[in-house]
Amino acid sequence: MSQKKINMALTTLVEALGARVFVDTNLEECLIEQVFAGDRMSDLLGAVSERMLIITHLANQGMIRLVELMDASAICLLNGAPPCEALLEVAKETNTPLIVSPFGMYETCGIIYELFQGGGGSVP
Amino acid sequence: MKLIEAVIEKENYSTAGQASRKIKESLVQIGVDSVIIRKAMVAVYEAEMNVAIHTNGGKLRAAIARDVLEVTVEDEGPGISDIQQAMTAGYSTAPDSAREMGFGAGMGLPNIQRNTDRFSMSSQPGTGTVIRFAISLAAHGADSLMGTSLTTDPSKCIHCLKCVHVCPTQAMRVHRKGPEILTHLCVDCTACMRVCPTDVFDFKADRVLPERKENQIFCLPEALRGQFPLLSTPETLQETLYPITGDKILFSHTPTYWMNGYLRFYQERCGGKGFKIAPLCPSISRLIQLRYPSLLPHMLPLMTPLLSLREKTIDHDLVIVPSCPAEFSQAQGIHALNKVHSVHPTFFQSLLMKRIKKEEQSRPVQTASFKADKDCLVVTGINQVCHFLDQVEHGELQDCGLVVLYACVGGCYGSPVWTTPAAIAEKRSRYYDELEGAQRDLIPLYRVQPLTPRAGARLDSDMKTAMAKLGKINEIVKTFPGNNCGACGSPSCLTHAEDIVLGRTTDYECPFLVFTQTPGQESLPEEFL
Amino acid sequence: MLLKDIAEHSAFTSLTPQLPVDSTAEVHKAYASDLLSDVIGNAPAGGVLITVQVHANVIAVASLATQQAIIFALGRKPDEETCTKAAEEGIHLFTSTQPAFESAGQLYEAGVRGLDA
Repeated sequence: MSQKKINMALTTLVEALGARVFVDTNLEECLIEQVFAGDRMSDLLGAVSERMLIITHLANQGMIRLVELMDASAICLLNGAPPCEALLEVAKETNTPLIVSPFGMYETCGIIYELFQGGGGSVP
Repeated sequence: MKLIEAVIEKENYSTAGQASRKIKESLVQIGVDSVIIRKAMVAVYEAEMNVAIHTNGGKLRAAIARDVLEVTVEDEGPGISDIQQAMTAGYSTAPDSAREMGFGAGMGLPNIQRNTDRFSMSSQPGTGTVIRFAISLAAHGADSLMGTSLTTDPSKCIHCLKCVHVCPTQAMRVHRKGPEILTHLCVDCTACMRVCPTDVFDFKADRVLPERKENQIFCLPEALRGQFPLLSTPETLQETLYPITGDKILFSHTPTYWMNGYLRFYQERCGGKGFKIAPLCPSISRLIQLRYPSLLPHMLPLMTPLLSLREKTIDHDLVIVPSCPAEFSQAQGIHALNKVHSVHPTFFQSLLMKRIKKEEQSRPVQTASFKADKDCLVVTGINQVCHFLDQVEHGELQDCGLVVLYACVGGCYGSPVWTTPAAIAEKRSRYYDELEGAQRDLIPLYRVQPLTPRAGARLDSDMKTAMAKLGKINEIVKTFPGNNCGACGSPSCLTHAEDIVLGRTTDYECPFLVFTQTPGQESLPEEFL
Repeated sequence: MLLKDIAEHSAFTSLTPQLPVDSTAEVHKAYASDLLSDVIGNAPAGGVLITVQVHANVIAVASLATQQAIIFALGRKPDEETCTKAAEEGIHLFTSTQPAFESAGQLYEAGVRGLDA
């Protein structure tokens, strides 16, 4: 969905946001090319693609299915709220890095957007 | 292959999605491309959530047939009164609770449609909704239609070579030991079957009826009704048929009704403009794939009548009486959930004729009036069809709108398996429709896998080798007389040279040359020239 | 950032042209969410809401949360009735074909902040 074609290490984003890492499988290697922010399952289902970071408020059953069924690259939850056990488990099983931004959706998007505009940071 | 049959509970958001997960596991095990799995998951999961959010619960069934994932989702109500509105992006009746879960965006049904290759939905307010969709699992939409269903009985062959000359795709060879069909070139058009004086050609449908089952439905060809004089009413016809079939019968393809279905699609989706071909005859689709691939974009993206019937028959064991080898090919694996039997039309007809009384068989032919469909151009007979397609490929005749092409003269009524002349069989058959008076609801279904060109004429998969072979063929063909007499059993001098180079024959000599060039008489005396 | 900067930005199309844009009105805060209860509870007053929710309830919610404007992402548009209602409430509606991430990014770049920044 996003037009930004920049490879950015997920770790760079974690640092910039001061995000808490809950599932770190694949975190080091994970490269992000696109970002999608939204809270509607249909939009998320339609958006998921390779190297995409998903930013969402949703941390419920629907999100568990999304992680399980769609092979999302990485998930960023919001407002510092820790995710439930079931979601953590599924993320671990499917090797999906899961981080929680201390900010709301708007700032999280803004901070990442500025990083992307700045040229993408370090690319291994 | 059946994948899963799962119950979806009302408003149970924690179990909804489990069926999707199981289907995904199977698709991963089979090795389906991840992009296609993703498409499938969007569709299946949205469908599951729909049932959980909006209905009193339901069932999901999934199966794979011929590289196609087929999913049926049924619920127990309340049903949808305005399907068009429900299909509108953004329209939703989801409760706020579902919205706060991130559902109820009004994108569910449009999302399913967008991610599937075929989608249909029917709903009865008060009873429930049925959604069916299909996704092609082959990454490139490969058409898995097999070569041919035609079989030969060489012991009957009298080497008359009629079949060699009549074959529109040059697929026929007659060797000393009898005929051979080059399956990669055959399109099951039955031209050979029709001209053969000794019934060498046939196809392998059963010549016994399958064991009678409760859940069985018979799919009979329309033309069958035209093989005997008119019985007084459709009821008499039923009384004659039921002892053989049981009471579930479907006549497969009243051509005008289907034509109306294709025509509706042509008018609604193509604006009633442009040259299009309605895929009624399966053999024609294969002819175009092989000989006229440049015309493939003109094919309506719909399935043949027989394949379109699959949704009407999906819950039954199906007994198909195909009216030709091309239909027999299609009947194989038409759906995955239940059994499919094919019964040979000649055998079935003989069963039926035994039940029709002598005096009825001798009644004079009655003609029933019928309305021709003026908006569809119909071309029948493989020769006429090839003639037509040759011209179309050269850019002519493209102002003829929607076209229906049949390999058999007189359409399916003219299949070589039938004994009654096509025109008479058609009139008789329409008589029953007129009496029944009801227009049947026949809607052609979307093709799941696009038609792709068949690489029939390629000499070798490696281009260098192919070039070398082509050179050899050109050398050999120079030594032949070029009169394409067919005496060698191959339709032309060129194809005979091809057969020699590709090792299809060991008869290297040209019988015509052997016969005409006896020693001492190398050429005709001058006064004859 | 001024409200009129959004109105004049090529990425955003106004859905409430009948509502005049006060050329001095400033936008300091913005909020992105598609969950209406979250918007009611957390969207900062006087801000701009970025969402894909076009349900008629969104106007009522934005009005309760005293939002100046709503930007609909992904090309979504509410029906005309909803737009008229928004104009009556004095809420500017814009639609953008880009996803929420990009719209949020552009506002953020222009100095519009979120909750407590």
